[in-house]
Amino acid sequence: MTTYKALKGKKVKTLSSDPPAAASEGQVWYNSSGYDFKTSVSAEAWASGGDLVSGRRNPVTFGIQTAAVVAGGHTPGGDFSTSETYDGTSFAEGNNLLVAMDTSASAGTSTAGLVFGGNPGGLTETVSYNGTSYSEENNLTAARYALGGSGTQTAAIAAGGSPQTNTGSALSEEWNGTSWTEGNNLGTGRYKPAQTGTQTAALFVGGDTGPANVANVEEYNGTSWSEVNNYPSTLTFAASSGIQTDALVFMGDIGPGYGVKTFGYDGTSWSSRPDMATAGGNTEGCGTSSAALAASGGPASGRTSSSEEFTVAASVKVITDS
Amino acid sequence: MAIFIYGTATNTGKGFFTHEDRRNFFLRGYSGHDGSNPIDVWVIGANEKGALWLADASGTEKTKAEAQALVKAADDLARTAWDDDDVDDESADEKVARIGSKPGFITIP
Repeated sequence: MTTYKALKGKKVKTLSSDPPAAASEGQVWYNSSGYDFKTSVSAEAWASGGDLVSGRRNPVTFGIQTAAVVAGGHTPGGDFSTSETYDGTSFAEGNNLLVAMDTSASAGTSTAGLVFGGNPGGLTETVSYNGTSYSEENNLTAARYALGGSGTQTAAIAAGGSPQTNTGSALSEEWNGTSWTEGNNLGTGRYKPAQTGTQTAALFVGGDTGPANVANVEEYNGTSWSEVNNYPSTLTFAASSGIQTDALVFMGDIGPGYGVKTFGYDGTSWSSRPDMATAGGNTEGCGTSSAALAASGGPASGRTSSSEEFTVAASVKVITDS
Repeated sequence: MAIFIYGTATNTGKGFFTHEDRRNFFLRGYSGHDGSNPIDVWVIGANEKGALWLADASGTEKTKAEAQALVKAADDLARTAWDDDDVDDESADEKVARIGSKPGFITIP
């Protein structure tokens, strides 16, 4: 019978207590107290996050998992302008948007954000956020709602959306910190997408062309959009996080009905990741591919005030033969 | 042997279900309604850790039929609210643009 030393060239350490899981990932040791061989493995999962002060559909979400802003959206009383900040534990009410903004798009961080487009009535409205309050900025060139947005407060991109007609727009606009300039159009016009990334490397996923929901995915290189591998199903009103070459796309309407699925994108292909606990959609998502936040939004049967956090964490496991 | 446990428990936010919980048992949440108040309905993997989680969450175990009835009640209310949410002179397309498509019915596993 071979031994670990014969295979790996070193003996298994004997330890009386387990080392920290995060520091021992991939290592094998013998725990002399519990008489077990152990290792530390890393795994991904969604866990519950803090509850919003006011649940809403179609808010914007920008920032990172531990420093995020959720603003605008829709409740049974109509579109509204409230904005909340999240510190990784709990949400708190902040200063309102300047006007009610529903189904808008956003970019940036919790201290340097940008919110643009949306409803009611199809908006060109653009506002910036400095971590405390919102300020009026120059408007989009074309009014539309359910558009995609990503980037930073000084270099954002707005793509797709619908000009209040339930048909998908192919328009793409770049924001330079002062004004919007029309760029090259999407290959397939649509609204209700998930969008993440930067102004020079954006990812636009799924959406609704008007006649139909689609699985198409396009990448932006700062100049033009190009079609890449499709998302595994048709998808609308999904959320996303990360960058073009390391993204997560989660929840959304997979037609019919809202889903819990999460898929990762590595710049080429899609791979399945752990499901969320609660189906939802109609929210943007923010963060990275290893620390994402999904806050409020659907499901279609109602608005929720709950949130979920995607994390990667290491934990110590006993090695068994089964 | 049953694959799932069904129950109700109020989602209290951060820490209600953890990264570790999600790795230990299946968990799926649904919006429900008990006739008086909204209620969170959970479908939980039928293992020891899943059962302990429901108990720790001060949850109430339900049969599958009871859990489905709670979810359907919430769906019915959402569909009625959608039907009643009208604006004068608004087209069907404009309504969908304003508040989204009419909610459907959810079947729990």
